[in-house]
Formats: sequence, structure tokens, C-alpha cells
Amino acid sequence: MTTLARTMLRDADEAADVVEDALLRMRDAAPGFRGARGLKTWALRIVANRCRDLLRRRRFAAGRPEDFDPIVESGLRADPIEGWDEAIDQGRMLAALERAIDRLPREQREAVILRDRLGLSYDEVAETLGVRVPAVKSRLFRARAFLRTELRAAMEDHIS
Amino acid sequence: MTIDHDDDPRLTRLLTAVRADAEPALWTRVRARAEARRPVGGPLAWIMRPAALAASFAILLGTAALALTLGDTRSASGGDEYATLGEALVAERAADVTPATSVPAPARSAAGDSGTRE
Repeated sequence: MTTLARTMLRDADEAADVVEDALLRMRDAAPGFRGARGLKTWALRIVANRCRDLLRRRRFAAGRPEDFDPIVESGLRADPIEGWDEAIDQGRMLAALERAIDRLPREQREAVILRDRLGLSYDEVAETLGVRVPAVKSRLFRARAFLRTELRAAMEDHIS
Repeated sequence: MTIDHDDDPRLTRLLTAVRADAEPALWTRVRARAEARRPVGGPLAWIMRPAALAASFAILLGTAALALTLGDTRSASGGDEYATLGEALVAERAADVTPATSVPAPARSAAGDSGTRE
């Protein structure tokens, strides 16, 4: 829940508020929870909806400063990648990827975070986002194509 | 459209390498907020319900409208209006006294006043 909120909002404090609200809402709604949907997808759906509300309100907010580090500012943590080519600066690549994720349309960003970052199945992603599996696959396909292009460009910049 | 999750292993590894740490203080805050929002029971809970608030407001408006209507009716049927209670009392007194002090017109057949010349 925290990973989703932080990646969506890029603000650790706002993300903490969202997760808190989501947990309280879950507590209030728990008596009516029938278990038809998985607990995990239910919780993530609440977080995703709350993040959408906040992002909608933030539409006209000022842009990020030049030196904005998307991972540090979001309160996220980057694990060292096993077998990573030492010639390529992992931190720089991760920051470039996070910036590219931020540029994705919201629907695609949600799908990428849920599927690739949190490891949900296609069915779970579809359930969380309230869409059908083909729609999830389509969003992921377009999102990954965009991210691959951005990553390649970042690597070329890095090498040159 | 075929989509393979591992179509770009480098991208997948980068995406999965970033995550948020669990925040221990979060549960404490949530527990504190849950305690603070403990539901109030009995009539107070009923009063706080939006439907109850709306009903109370409707009753208030109805009562105010009835009071205004009754006030208008009373002033319309009241006839004379006096600025003060004193004026009203004087007028009422005058109304009571007037019939007793009025002099009836003398009948033509009645005897004339002794002081007059016939």
C-alpha cells in the first residue's frame, strides 16, 4: 500500500496520510466485507482511488524542481540489483525510470506499479483497477514500450 | 497482442528494485485515530446522523413558518394598533366610558328647560 501510494504521489507525507485513511476505511468497512474480492486487491483499490482523488486536485500544482530525486523524495528505497552491469550507474537508471513512470498516463502508471512493482497477477490488477484483464494487458504493453524507450535513451545519455 | 512479463529483464529488475519500507509508526497512528473516532452510542449517535439533522432542520423551518403565519393573522385581525400599552389601555378605557357620558338627544315632547323662554 505504501509503495503504491508513494510511487503514485511522489510525496512520503501525503502517501502516509493516504495509507492511514485507507486502513481506517478498511476498519470501518470490515463488517461489510464479504471476501468476494481479495483483501489485498480491496486494500490497494482503496489506496489507488484515494491517490486518484489527490492527483486530480493537484492537477494545477507547480512542476518539480530540476534536482528532484523521484526515489528519495517519494520515500522509496532502491535495492541493489543482482548481476547489474557495474559500468552503468544503477541509481541514475532508477531515477530516470521513476521520472519516466511519472510521465505515464495515470491508468498506465497504476498498472505498471501493481503488476511490475508489487507483483500482482493480471487478474488482481484488473480487480484492483476495476477493469478487465485485456485492458490491463493493453495498458501494460503501452506503458512498457514507453518505459523501454525512455530507459534506452537514458542509457545512451549515460554512455555518451 | 502477446505480452511477456519478462520481455525486458533489465526493465523488470529495475521496476522491482524500488519499494517502500514498512513504517512502524503508521500502525500506532492508525490505532490512535481509530480510538479517537470510537463511535458514540445511543441518542447522540442518532442525533448526529445526517437524516436526523435534516429532519431537525425541517422541523425548525416549519415552526418558524407557522410562527410567522400566526403573527400575520393576529396583526391583521387585531384592527387598532397602538404604539404602547398605555395608549391601548387609554383607548380601551375611553371605549368603556363613552356610552355612559353621552347625553341622549331630548325628545321633542319633553318639557323645555326652565331657563328658556317659551
